[in-house]
Amino acid sequence: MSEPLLRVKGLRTEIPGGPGSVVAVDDLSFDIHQGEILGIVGESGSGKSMTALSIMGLVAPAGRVTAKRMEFDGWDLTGLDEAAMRRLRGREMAMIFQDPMTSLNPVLSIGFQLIEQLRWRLGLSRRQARRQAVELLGRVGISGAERRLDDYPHQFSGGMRQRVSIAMAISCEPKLLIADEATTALDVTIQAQITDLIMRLCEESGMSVMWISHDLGVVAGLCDRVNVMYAGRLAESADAMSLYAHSRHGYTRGLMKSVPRIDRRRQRLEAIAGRPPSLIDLPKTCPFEPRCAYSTPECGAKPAPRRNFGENHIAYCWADLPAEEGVE
Amino acid sequence: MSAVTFAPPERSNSALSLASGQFLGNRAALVSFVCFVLITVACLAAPLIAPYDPVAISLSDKLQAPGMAHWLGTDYFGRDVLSRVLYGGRVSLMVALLVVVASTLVGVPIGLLAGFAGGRVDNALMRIMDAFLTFPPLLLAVAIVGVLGPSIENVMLALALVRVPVFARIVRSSTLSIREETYVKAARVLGSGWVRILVTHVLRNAIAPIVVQITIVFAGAIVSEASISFLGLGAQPPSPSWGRDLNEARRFLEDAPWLLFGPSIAILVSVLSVNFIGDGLRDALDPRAWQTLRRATARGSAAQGATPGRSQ
Repeated sequence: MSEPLLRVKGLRTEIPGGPGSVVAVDDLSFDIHQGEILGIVGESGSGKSMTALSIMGLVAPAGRVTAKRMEFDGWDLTGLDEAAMRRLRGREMAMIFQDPMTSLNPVLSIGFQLIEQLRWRLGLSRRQARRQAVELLGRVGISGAERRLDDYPHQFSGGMRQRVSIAMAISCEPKLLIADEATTALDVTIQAQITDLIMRLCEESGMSVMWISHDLGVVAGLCDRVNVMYAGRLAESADAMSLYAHSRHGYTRGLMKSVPRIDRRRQRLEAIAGRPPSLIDLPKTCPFEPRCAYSTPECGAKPAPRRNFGENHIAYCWADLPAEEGVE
Repeated sequence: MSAVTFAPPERSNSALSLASGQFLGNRAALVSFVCFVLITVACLAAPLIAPYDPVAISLSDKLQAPGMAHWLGTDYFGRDVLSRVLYGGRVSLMVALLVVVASTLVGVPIGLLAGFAGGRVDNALMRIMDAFLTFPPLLLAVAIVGVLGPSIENVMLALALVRVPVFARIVRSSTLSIREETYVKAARVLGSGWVRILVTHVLRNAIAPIVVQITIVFAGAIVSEASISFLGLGAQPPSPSWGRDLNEARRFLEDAPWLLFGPSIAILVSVLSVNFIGDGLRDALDPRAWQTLRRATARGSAAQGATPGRSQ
């Protein structure tokens, strides 16, 4: 396989605090290939967003990021200073956020925000930038783009605003787009439109996407590969098909069971008992062990091994999970 | 019920025209603006339109009631009050204007920097500002003028200095909340540097409290200048100033109450109109308020005036 667009090895993000530093991301390794959509799944506080911010170089000064390797498109991100990172941000990698209501400046017209970005990052003239902005809005599916350029964020609906955010993010044709819960605040039909849009943009431009979500359904439909994170660590990583067909980690299993299914009406949802652990002084052993339905004696004693289950499917788990429990 | 048309409101391409439309639609602001312009023009044109020399003493005419010869009467030295009000406005308005400009230009960047940088920079800057605030403003101004010597330039300097912390504090607190907004985060992930973020995002969103503060400071400066001049530290007699003349008029409250009218009405009207103008500007600079206006116009029921969704 060719060199991945983004290669992360041994990423660790620490936020120093009062009683002890919080290890938000611990020993995380993954790759994103060109044109690939990687899903990152996990509950709140599992380090999904911190992973994104670490890659973008936006954790400092609150926290400290270390990594054995962190390479993006030939750049060594671990060695770049803030000025160099700033040149990458927006041009090579961009990010969109959960809340489309607040991710656009309310007092500037969306045209102004788009055009400014284009003129400043790409050095376009006012007229070129305006033409480009209209085209971008058209690409993300905003009709009457020319007319809507002078409208303000509050004149758009939530889904439309998210489209504008996407237009801003892809304005400089980044190689990597990080979407942090980009559809969580939208209703389901809009959610589907946005994921369709993302897929189409990927196909058109060969852009890679890191799709952060806690919605397994959306991830299943959109992503090529999925990383499941728990307590700042990677629990399982697999092709989407393989993961949903046969998950190999107790946490992934738990997550799948807690999704309501239309074909099992009377089934009670199984919540995962307990709460996520505190990220301060977490033991080296599997952090999910206390809540795991499949835990074995080794789980609490030794760090979980990295196990391979066929091509591109790894899980950090001691237990051999039973084959099929009605999860497909 | 009359037919309600939901025709899309007329779209104008320029933010400026929408903003000015909003401002002109605010009657109080519009009237105030006209008043203020009239006062300013009249004061600037004082040498052309003032009926008398403002400092010419004519003891035979002292303390005359308003009449055809002297529309606003004469003071203890027989000087024409109307002429003094016109000339005095030049001093008072000039002081207020320069105080506002200077304290805004210094205070706003300090507040932006403190709020955005946080940590030690914030602490250092704001403790200095707090130190200024511990003094009663008038007393500090008097002390500064006392050290530098009484003159109208030093009054301006002192008054501006005293107002800097006010702007710094207001802008800092706005900055603290705006920097946490998602659009600031979004700007960062798209590669904006902090200067760009401060100017296009933070400052642009903090404009409302700044404009309101400007009007307050402008009004306050007129009054403060009056107080300092009264103490003999500002405008030196016999040169006119609204505040000084007002304070002089107090001595003749029983014999010649009309002496109060000219300067006090001048102060009242200019301060009031500046406040209304500030109100109108604040709304005119907020695109979310334009929406309400447009909607209201489109539905033809401005009276129902839905409040704009601030939380958006």
